[in-house]
Amino acid sequence: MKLIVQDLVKSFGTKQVLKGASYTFAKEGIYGLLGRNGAGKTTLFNCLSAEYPPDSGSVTLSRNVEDPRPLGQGDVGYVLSTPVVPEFLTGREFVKFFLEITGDPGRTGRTADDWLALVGIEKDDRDRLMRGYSHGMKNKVQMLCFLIGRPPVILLDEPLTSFDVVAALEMKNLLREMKDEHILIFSTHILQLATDLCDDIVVLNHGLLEEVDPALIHTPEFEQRIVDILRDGGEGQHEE
Amino acid sequence: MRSNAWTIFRINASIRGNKLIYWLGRLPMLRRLFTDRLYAAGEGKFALFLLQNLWWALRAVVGKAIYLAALLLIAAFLALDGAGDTLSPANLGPFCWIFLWMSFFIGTLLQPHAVAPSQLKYICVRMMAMDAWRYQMITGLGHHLAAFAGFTPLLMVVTALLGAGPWAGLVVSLELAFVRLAAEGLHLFLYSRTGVNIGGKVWYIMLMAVAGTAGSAVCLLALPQSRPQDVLLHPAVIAALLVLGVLGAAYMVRFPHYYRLVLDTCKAEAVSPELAKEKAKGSQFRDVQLKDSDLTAEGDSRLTGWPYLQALFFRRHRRMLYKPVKIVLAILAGVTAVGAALLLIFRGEETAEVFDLVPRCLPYCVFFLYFMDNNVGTRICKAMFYNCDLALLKYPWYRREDVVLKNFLLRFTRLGGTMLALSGAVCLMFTVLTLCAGGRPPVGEYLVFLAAILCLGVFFAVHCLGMYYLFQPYTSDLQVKNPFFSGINFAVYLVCYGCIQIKSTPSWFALLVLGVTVLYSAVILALVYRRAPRTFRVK
Repeated sequence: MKLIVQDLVKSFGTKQVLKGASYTFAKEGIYGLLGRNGAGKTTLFNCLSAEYPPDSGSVTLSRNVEDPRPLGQGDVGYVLSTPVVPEFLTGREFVKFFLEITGDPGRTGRTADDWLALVGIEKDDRDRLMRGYSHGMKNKVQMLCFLIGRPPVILLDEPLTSFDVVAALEMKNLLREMKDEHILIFSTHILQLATDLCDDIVVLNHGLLEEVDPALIHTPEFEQRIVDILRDGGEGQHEE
Repeated sequence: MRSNAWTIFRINASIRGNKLIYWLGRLPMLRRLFTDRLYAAGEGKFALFLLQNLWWALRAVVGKAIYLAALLLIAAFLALDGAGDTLSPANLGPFCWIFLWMSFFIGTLLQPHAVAPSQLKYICVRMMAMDAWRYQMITGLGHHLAAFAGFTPLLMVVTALLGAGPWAGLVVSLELAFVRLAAEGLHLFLYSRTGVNIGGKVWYIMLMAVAGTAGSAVCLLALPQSRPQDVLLHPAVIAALLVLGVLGAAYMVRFPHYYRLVLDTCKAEAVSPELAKEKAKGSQFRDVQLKDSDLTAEGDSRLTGWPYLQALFFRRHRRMLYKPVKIVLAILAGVTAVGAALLLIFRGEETAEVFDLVPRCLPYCVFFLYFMDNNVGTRICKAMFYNCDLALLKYPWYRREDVVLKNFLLRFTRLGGTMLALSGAVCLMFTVLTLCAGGRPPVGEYLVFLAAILCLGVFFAVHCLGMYYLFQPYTSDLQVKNPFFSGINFAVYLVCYGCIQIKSTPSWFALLVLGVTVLYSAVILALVYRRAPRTFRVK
């Protein structure tokens, strides 16, 4: 599976945030998206998830080389940094409902309880309304939607920053389990997290996407290389 | 002191210049001209500020002129001898009474400058650590001088036109300035004694407004032949007001607690539009926020998927959704019971004749149903957005065409049922009252009348839900941002309001209502099916 981003341009007023960003996410795996504050990471995610249409350029998905097709509505899952869930439902009700509309029980045989247990939501919390859930718990429920719905591309905007250490480890393990069947792109400011979790690193700089040599990721020079690239970009290019 | 004054002036210029650039940049014609780059153009902003001040000065003078002209017209209307001639000298007495109560009393006591919060005060004193006393002296002097300069020439013209000579206007303006200073001193005194800025209290504002209006009414009615101008221009009164003004000014100059006053009155939410908006959100959301007690209702375990979700939503929002419905039904039941009892007691030929013409009151029913159904429908749509769609529309699976239309239908069933129940109650009310009154309206006409009322219920359900799906006008803080949504709603209001202006209802009016409601509903439903999957989004 390939996700092909080609010449993506997006402007807000006179400010051009994406200036022809191109990159091919060539296989399933976890991609770290790095960039300075205001570099346009959220804008890129919004364009990929069709929240905002890009001014020009294309995003296509290809299961094999011959048939690249534009990204459809069910192709992208977007885990927002501030999770949003319908707060008038309990965790169990929401997952039950979601399993029904996706037709999952017949596919995996897992019940709502099985799924909630998978992301570490305790039994006592499952029948509580989600409006009383912590940020991290809401994030787990949001992640569950993508685990169940299985969109080929999952975008994660700073997904682990609100988790405690235990939840963050559980979530990292979850992402590692998912990576064989999905293209996971997650933005982060934490370099250690990127090196720990990602198979590839992409830098968004000056409105363009730039690959970092994967061979560098686990070397001592990696951090310096990233800082060199990002320093070149300047801070506060765009207020997201 | 001079450098502080210059600093205040420049900061004010920046604040106002930035605001002007921001708003001009939002106008379609000027968007290209007023770009973000202009925020950095200090001198340009200063020029804008000067232009803006000129405009405001002009607006202030015109505003004062309109205010005085309005007082003159009221005085002319109330004057016993001068009615018909606005500028008759006989109007001077009533004019002075009204001006005395409106400007000397209400104006000065409701608009104290020293204790009023402002963004400029917040920035200069709280953020830039400017001396609070200096700030107050500089801005207070400017404020009162500007008010005096604005009123004096206009008052001189008015008193000259009313035959008292221009000097009378000058004296009255000076007296007003003295009273303003005295009122400032009074507010500071009250603050130092109580620690509370009563100028910001709603009860105080209401009290002053009512007292001022009542005072002027009493003086005009009880003392129609009096000559308040003689009192105002009496040397003893001028001297007394001068003394009060000097005392007020002295108190202001010596007041030691300006910094404390700024800390107490200039809170961030009182001066920042964004934070004020945040605070206002509370009231905006009151109608749609859930209580814990609402959320205990269990879902129907027989349902699955989308019907399960919508059933849970309506069940857990039943308090906020059905409370207005219950109130309306209770009112209708009360009217029916009382009306039926009265009609049974006073039943006769006259009541029968009146109720023979029941179908002719359909135009009033259109407006009544608009008022009732629109209120219920808007509330339900807002609650749907805030408690359900705002979160779920972030998920692509919730925005899929089939899902949008499926949920629209499920919701339409619920909303349509509610509106039909209301319309049914109205039909029942008319039927019971007509039977009790002994009315015998033509059966065919009466049945069309009832059908029109029921159709109106469906019509308003389609209208409220259709507009919501076609325009999704709400932002995350429940502001309505879509001009088409507001425009169409206003047009529907105008049509419904226009109906009650119909003096003699033609017999085919019910058929017209029936036809229009069916046609409009069909058009809206077709548009929803074509467009809603694209338009139903979070803005």
